[in-house]
Amino acid sequence: MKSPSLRVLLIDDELDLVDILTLNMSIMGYSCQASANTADAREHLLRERFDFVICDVIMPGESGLEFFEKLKSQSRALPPFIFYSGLSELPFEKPYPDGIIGFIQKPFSMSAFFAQLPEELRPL
Amino acid sequence: MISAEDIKSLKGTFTMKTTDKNYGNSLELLGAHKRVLELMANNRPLFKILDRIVELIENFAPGARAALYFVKDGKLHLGSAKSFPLAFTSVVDGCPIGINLGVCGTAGITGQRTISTDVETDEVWGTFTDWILSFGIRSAFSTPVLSKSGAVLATVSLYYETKHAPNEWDFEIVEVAANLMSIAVERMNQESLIKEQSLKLVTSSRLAALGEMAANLAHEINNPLAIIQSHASLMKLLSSRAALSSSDVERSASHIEKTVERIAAIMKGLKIISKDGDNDPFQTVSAQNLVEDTLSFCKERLRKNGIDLRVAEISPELSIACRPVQLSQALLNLLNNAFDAVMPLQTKWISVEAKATGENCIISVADSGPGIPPELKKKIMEPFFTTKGNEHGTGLGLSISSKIIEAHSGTLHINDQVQNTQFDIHLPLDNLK
Repeated sequence: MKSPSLRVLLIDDELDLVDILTLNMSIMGYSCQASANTADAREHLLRERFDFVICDVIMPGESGLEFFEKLKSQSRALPPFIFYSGLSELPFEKPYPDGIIGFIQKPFSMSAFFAQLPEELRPL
Repeated sequence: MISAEDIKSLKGTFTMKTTDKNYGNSLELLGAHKRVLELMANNRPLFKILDRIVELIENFAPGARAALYFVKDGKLHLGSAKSFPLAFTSVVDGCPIGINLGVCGTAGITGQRTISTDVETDEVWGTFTDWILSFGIRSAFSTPVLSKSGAVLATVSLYYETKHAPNEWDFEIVEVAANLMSIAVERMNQESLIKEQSLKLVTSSRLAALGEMAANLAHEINNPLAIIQSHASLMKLLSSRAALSSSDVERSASHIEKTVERIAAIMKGLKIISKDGDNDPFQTVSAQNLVEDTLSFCKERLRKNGIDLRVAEISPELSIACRPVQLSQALLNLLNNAFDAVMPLQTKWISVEAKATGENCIISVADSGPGIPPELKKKIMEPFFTTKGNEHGTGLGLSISSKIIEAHSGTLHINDQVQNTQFDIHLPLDNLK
């Protein structure tokens, strides 16, 4: 039996996208927390527990990858990260670096999005 | 030393007629040669130079009418033949070169001087005999102008209304004319090569800019597409659960509309780099629209890189007469430069302003950079000068921008009155009249 509600941290400065993703994921039974920048996301990660993190690659100021690298050097107990990006090139080589479990290219349908998640993180 | 007597006797050997004062005077011929060279050095147009070569020949070879033809792709192309009627020049222009296709055609193909002392009987005219006689021509000769590799570049031909056998003096004149002609052809070829190359450079710099923006463009379009697709997913999901209300549809539809507009704005901006716009007509456009269209293209890129874009409010009444695509390209180049300049800095901002001051409309692009060092101020406007390294810049952006602005009778300035880096485009409001 999966836990009743998987907790997701969604980090993206594109607020319209965050809103609609949150809505989609909530309907699918996730509990979503949105952050518009990495500083805010860091606060949430310090205080709360998440099952996974969805993070945009390119954001104003610190990029998603820089944020992830910094976190990794500070803590070993990070939730797994899934990155997504509008860029057509993978920002890292496969196999994914430790701590990263997926890379999704924008645009994507929600079903394709969920299909990219590992079994245990898919919707109920 | 040559005595006056010698010259007299020399003249004697050259002479057929002695009516013209310049006839037989080598020094004067040399002077005339020099004057045509001076015209070339002063970059006078080619047709003027060719006309002067014809004048030179006719002045020194009395009774002769001169015709200059270029030889290209196996055909004769009119250079200058101002003493001939259109009925003559228009037929010869475009004629193939070949044996017995007249003195020009034959000299053009053989690379040898070709002489016809009697049009009526000489074979060299082939089927043209009657036609050439109808212009009153009784004799002619043609000298090829050869390239260093021996290819025929042009022909210099002299036509006479009498049966005339060319003498040493005639050949001397033609040699001078052929020499001038070879210089003219060489210059013409060089000029068209330079034109071709600079055209290639402009194209390649546009392609480089396009390449740089392609990745950025994918990002700017994929983001809104992701929003649209997520709305589609939501409606499908809700509908599959029989939970799709009309307010859900309305909400998603209006988000989709808004997002499509965002993509459309980017596409509108795209025309700025996809088109050269060099031959567009001048149009009166609002400065506000022009700036907004240009910014729509790079706004997202600036935002994503944490650059604060400050756009001062532009009066909706401010209009500019311009080629909008070109001017946008110039503005975009300045914005791209500002982008590259602020990226390594702690404080990143770019500001854009457009206002009317007196006789000018001034569009300014400033950034948080420390200004242009005085020693570079002149250099940065030169083509190929770049401080960005080869990977990033072609060194053409500013020089192209300044060329575009010059073509609008405007000027591009570096503003020293401010602490930061600021470029001002001055455009005369007069353009509107």
